[in-house]
Amino acid sequence: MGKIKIGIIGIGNCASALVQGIEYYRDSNKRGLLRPNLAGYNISDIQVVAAVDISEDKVGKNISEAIKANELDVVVDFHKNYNVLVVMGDILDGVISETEKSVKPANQTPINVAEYFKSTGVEIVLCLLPSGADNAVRFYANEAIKAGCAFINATPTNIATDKEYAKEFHDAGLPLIGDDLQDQFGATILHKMILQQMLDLGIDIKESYALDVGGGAESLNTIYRTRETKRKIKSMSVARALNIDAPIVAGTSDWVEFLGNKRNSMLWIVGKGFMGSDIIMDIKIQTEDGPNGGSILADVIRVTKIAISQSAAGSIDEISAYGFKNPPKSPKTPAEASKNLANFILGIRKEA
Amino acid sequence: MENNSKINSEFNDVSDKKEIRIALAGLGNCASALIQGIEFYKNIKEEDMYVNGLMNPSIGGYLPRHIKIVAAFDVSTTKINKDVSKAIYAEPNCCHKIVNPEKMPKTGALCYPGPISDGCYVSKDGRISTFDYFKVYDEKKIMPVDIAQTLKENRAEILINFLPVGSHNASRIYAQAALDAGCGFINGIPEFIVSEQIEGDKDWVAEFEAKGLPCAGDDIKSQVGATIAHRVLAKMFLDRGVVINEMYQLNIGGNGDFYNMKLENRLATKRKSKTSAVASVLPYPINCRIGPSDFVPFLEDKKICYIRINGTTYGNLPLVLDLKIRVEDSPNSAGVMLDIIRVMKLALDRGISGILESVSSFSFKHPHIQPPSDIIAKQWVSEFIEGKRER
Repeated sequence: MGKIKIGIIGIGNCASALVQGIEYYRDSNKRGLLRPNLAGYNISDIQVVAAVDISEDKVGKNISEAIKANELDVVVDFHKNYNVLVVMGDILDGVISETEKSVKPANQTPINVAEYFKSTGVEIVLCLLPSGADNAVRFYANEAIKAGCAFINATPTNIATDKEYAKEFHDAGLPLIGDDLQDQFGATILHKMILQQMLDLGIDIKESYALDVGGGAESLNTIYRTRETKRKIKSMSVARALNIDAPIVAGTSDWVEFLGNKRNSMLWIVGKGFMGSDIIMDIKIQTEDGPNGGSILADVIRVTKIAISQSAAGSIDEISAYGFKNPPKSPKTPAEASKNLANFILGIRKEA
Repeated sequence: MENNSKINSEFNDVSDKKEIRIALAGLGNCASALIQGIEFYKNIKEEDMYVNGLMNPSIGGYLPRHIKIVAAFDVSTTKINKDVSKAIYAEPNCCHKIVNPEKMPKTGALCYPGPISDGCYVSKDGRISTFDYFKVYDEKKIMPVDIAQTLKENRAEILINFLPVGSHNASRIYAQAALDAGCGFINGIPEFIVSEQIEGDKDWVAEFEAKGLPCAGDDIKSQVGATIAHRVLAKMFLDRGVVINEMYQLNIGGNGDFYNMKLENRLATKRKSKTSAVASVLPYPINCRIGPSDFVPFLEDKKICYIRINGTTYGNLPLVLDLKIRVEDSPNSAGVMLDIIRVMKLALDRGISGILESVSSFSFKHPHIQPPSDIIAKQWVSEFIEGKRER
């Protein structure tokens, strides 16, 4: 098995978790991975060959140094010969006035991104830009097509769910995955699982919310820019999976600076059981953002590599449905999504 | 003592001519809870000591039933030109029905169309519009009334500001009308009128004082709500030697107040008021996030509050407090307002003008003087009621 060459756009907490994870899991005894080996690839087979950012604290530095500017602590030791410089990208709408204080743009000329991807041999472009940077996300998707790279969109911007983009990637013979990365274990997935379980056991769901607060740049972004869109995605993602007629609200509520990369999620569920008896659930979950995305990303990247080897092109629904909150086609249950993914890896595809 | 109070109350019952004539700017959930409460507590007697939900059944001989609503101003087509007893139940109000609408007696007070001014807004992207939410009247078809004149005609003594958060200009229109009509002014919302003079604004307190009128504010504090709970707990950490490192207080709700505060720039004063109310008990600066956090429609008038305090205690060990409060939002302020109104009436009876410091410090989040503790502020109010303290 060869290496999987990826280029990362946006060297924030999520990128930090992935880059560190690749180093951390060189030791195969370490735990916390969903799939240590996936279709023959280990997470350490992923090789970051290109990195783009716009922050003056990151551009021009080795990626192992640049990630120290994030909230997420750097806990692994990098190889001495680990050498990937972060290059200057186009800012477009990646920074807003509220986030400018923490993310100061570097005063440098942006690189020609498509050329850069080509020269570094990138196979897969991983887009980890801030939520709501719609223009920037579209720009990098276009550059990926130009450079002949597959594209994974972890942001909530509609790319994989956009029919025109799906067609463009299809025509270019490239896989397209997204949108809006789902956590390995977080409020969204737990909320869905509990509600599903209650429904399966005949409980009538009356109302429910799953609200979270975080302190990273991502939460700040969400509050000022994409609260409404993200709210729609998250609320729908839950309601769609359940097919119930009760008010459900899910999403980010507020930004609490001191939480840093931590995220507190509050779950509230009211249901009615036998003869209308009350069932009330009140749950609090505390997670860390960056690492929570890392494991799923590691899976998604490896399966995308398989998609490339299978010459699968366009929107790859099996991968999107497995790792994203807003895929082009939603699976009924997480188990179904996993099964479809396994079939895809084996080369079995259900024609839509 | 006991005998005396009995005699007094009997005396009151015989010639119960006591009356506090109030008018309301904004007939939302807070107003609804207040008006329903006046009816709900109509049978309270002066000697009653413990009544569910009331801090002071009687204040200087004034009972809740002595409060008479004489006029209200609003901009919702669902409310204007109706009797206040009907209008308080109209959409989008969602306050709990403490009194069955059918059993609510007519007040004889009308809900008049007030000026819209900056009481409503549309967000830049057009996705949030309180014009739609509040079902605001068409300015081409309906003319707002002259507030000062309406207050005079209805012989109002006190005007209460219950406008939506962020009503900077509209609040000042009503404050001016109170001055012009000779009414005391209670500011229930986080507009800084009574507590401080903001840049470019006039000295409202001086004007009220010059006209011999009392005022109290700003931003009413709930009976047992997020602010008071957070203050008391933070004070406890401080008094008992646990250093607070950081804390948050997140509030979510589903009423018009929370809808209105969906737009971040609408709630700058609200955040400031709520933060200062808690931060003021600590002598050192601290990393804290406090505010309305989210709008969850199905909660309606229920409010959920999550408080977190991270502290460091003996031997540098961590101490973490994680608290959840669930409460009906609007009724939570009404019990406090019942007291403020009656305290202000005492001030009017005594001819006291300007800021009522004691009741402002006790009952508002952003008073002119933040009290060192709520117990002390309560003491100030008791002293004022007994006539031992001027304001």
